[in-house]
Amino acid sequence: MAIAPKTDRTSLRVVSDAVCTFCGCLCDDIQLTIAGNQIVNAENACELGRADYLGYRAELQTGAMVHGVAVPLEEAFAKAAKILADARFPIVYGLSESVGEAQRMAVAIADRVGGCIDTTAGQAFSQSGMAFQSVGKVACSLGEVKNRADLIVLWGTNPTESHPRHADRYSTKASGLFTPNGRKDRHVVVVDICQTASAVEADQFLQVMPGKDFEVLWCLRALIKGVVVADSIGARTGIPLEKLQDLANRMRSCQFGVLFFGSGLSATSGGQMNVEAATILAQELNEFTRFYAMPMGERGNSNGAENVVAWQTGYPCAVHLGRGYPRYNPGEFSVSGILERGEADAALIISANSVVDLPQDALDHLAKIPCVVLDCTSTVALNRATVAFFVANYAFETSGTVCRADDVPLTLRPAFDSPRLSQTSVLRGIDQAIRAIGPRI
Amino acid sequence: MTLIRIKNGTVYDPANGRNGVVMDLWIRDASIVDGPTPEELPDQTIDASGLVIMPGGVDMHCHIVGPKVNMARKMRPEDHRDAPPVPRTTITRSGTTGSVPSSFATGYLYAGLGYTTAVDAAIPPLSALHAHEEFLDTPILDKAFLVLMGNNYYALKALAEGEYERARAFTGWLLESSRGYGIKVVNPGGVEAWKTGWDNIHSLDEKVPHLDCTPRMILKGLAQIAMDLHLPHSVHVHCNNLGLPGNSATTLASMEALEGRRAHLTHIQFHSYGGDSNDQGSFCSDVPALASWINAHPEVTVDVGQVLFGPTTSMTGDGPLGYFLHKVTGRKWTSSDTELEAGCGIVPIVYKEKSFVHGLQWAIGLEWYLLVNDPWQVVMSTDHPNGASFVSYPEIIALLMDRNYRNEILKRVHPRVRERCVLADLDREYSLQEIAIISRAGPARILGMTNKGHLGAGADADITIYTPDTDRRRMFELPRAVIKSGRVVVDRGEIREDILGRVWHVRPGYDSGVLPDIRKWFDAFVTVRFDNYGVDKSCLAGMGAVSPCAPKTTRKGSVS
Repeated sequence: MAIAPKTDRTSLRVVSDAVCTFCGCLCDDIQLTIAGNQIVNAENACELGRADYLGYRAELQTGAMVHGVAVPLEEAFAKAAKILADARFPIVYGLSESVGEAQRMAVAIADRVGGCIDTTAGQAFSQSGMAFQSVGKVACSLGEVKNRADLIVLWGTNPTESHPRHADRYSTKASGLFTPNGRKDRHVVVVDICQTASAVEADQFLQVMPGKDFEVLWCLRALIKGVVVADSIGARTGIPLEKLQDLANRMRSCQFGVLFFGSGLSATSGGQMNVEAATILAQELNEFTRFYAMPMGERGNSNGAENVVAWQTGYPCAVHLGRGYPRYNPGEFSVSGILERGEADAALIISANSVVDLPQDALDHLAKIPCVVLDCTSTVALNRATVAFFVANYAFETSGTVCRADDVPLTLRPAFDSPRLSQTSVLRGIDQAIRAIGPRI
Repeated sequence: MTLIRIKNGTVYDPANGRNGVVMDLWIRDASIVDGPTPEELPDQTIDASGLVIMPGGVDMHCHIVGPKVNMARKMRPEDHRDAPPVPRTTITRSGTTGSVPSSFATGYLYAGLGYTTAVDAAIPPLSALHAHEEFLDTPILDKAFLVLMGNNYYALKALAEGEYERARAFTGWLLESSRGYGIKVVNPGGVEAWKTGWDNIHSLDEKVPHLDCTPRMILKGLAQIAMDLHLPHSVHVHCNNLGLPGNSATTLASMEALEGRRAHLTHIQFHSYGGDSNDQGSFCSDVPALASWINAHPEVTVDVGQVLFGPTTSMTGDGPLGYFLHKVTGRKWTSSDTELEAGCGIVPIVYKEKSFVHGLQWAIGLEWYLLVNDPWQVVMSTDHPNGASFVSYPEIIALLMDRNYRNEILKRVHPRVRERCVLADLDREYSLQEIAIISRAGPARILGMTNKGHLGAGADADITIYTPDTDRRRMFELPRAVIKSGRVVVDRGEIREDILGRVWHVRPGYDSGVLPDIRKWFDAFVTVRFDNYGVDKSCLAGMGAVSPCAPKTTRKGSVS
């Protein structure tokens, strides 16, 4: 239990059923106790979520700056609009720390200025999203797992440390309609390259040699179909054939199996092929039983960003609107590549956190071009921005829609009102200012 | 206040008995009004001399928003890339087309065809918020969605336990909280059985695993609930055994199981197959028998789910069907189940003229339009995008209005098709009035949307003006003008104004005594908190409109 700072106890406020955005779990049962402008307790939250909540500090800075000088909002909107409308190749990037409403407005701006829009989901998407486009997927909302799953395989993921409440709320330990005894009603297998905390808690741990996940998944496909596999698979992958045969048997004979995969499977070299293999394995298992393969999900609202970009343009990320209509080509139109090649000549960055994972060459180019940045804390990117907007913190200070790892939409319950505009309001202001400049065809 | 006069148009308004009457129509703001006093002059006059006027089209069964549709978009970039894009203009947003257009493109394409209302037929209530957000990015159209309930575990359990009142109250609560329009049943019990590990449910009296409940009980129960809640629309049913040879027996049994209750059977084409389920070669049409049942039962209506040749995307709330299609086509497959509520399957598909099965599906759809005597009982649909995209509606109209054209295509399809159906013997041709019924007046009446589908005083001013043309396809592909809510939104195929339509939903009321039990259910089995479930009014962004639930559906809707 965290120790609450000394505050005036008489002014405590409570927000119930708040949604925690720390990881892809989006736990929506958090009870926040708020004293003044601090969160003093986050009941039900895991240690990661609680640290996030208790670490919240109200930002003092409001309004907007142009070249580091505070200006009235209208002036900042006009300046931002001019930068984006005048650009030959503007990019709109970020969106993973945004609610659906702001994401919708961001795509609208990209459309209006003929820019390229990409989400930070674009980075991860290049693996599991491409696999989805190749073979499809077999997924379910997490409640199906809670209520029905009797076999759970955790592959390249360590939820005990990365998604601490996943087990209790949704998966290995959750009790449900056909799993009244929770953990006892399930068999849990961990496949990973080293023994993690999750592996220790599992019924079985299969240690795969780094980079050999695909071989193991392909071997399981064979075993499930009754194809004879050579003993040498053990030496090649680190997992003996009899253990793989046992896992294959369990997969075939379970009632409802789920393979959750994490970055250990999807974000390694050949990640797309790994996810494809896991997906095809799950699809083929449906000849015998119900079986699913799903990502664990990541921090923030990247799933929501992907959804919004997809419904507005038809494509999930890396969309170029420069010809007046959406074109999609991950790699060519991924923001990291566009910046690395020095193609973009202006940028709208929604949440500066989104740029930290970009390659150095991309960051170097970003430093050379005019940038409009929206952020809730005083970051380097914000301070260096041509036009900087101090916006409300989406996770604590705004309402709006966020999307869980399994695509279930939830509405945020803000702990605080913010003296700053929301991302949505700022983006709307910029959009209106762009319209005022006139058409760009 | 704006007053518009549409002068001298030839009006087809079957709901008001106008069959090609040359007359003036008057619009005040967003509604149709009686002609004003002679001294009042219109602000605008549209000369429709020589032009055909109909109410705006109403698509009562399509898949245009929500997680399933969006997953199809994400899974199939090739579907968009191969299709002509929609470029942005100074007033409209850009988009992509193909079998699953992007949201803005969907609105513009429908409007361009003269359609002004569309109902998404399958939203899992857990994802209602997503559907509503997407509605806000689907312009021009008035919209609504049906809530998937035929495999909702709580509802099934209540019906199984003989607790009809609880099931009814739950339904009322579910429709209100999701801001849905009506009850959709997809493969009653079959999706739940699939999730439990079975392959499917095959007959009306087979029990759903773990539940003392059968498809028959689900159909009867939910049909009765729709009636008792006085919902504007009856229960909307996708029967068991979709797509299987010999499924007409199941369809007939489902019709009988309703025992005189109001119901709408959707994409009936996919449920009208004779033959042996184990022998694809025995496949034949059973439309004559089913249609004659419909002809004798005015309380039951159907929409067709017409198949047209070409590539499209199959998407369904019927999980086991998705798997079946994946096995049949060998194409990529998405399955996505929603906890204790629903399933979902998505598979790309190509309907081929030379395929015996596809040709027969095409013929069976047409037989439905031609064998149901009363056009008010049969609605034009492609089950977009399952049978084909909604942009194919003009093609269907041409096939129905011109038997020579129909017979030409029939000659081109697989030769065995003619032996296995009666289409070649059907001489009937639709009139413009009948087209107006199956594409707007009928669906509006079946949906209980009293202000849609007609041009009488008080109706919403949603109007399509066509240039008469013996080439019916061309006539209906490119309306001369489309008016939505009294605004000219389309002029010769160009979007002139980008407006946002309303989202219709119901508030049937319910016994709040059920809430503690639902809350308990949520606490135990649902991964979203009871208080975080459902859609807040603010999520409709002021576009919400409530369709009244009343024993007589003559009252007008009110805007919330």
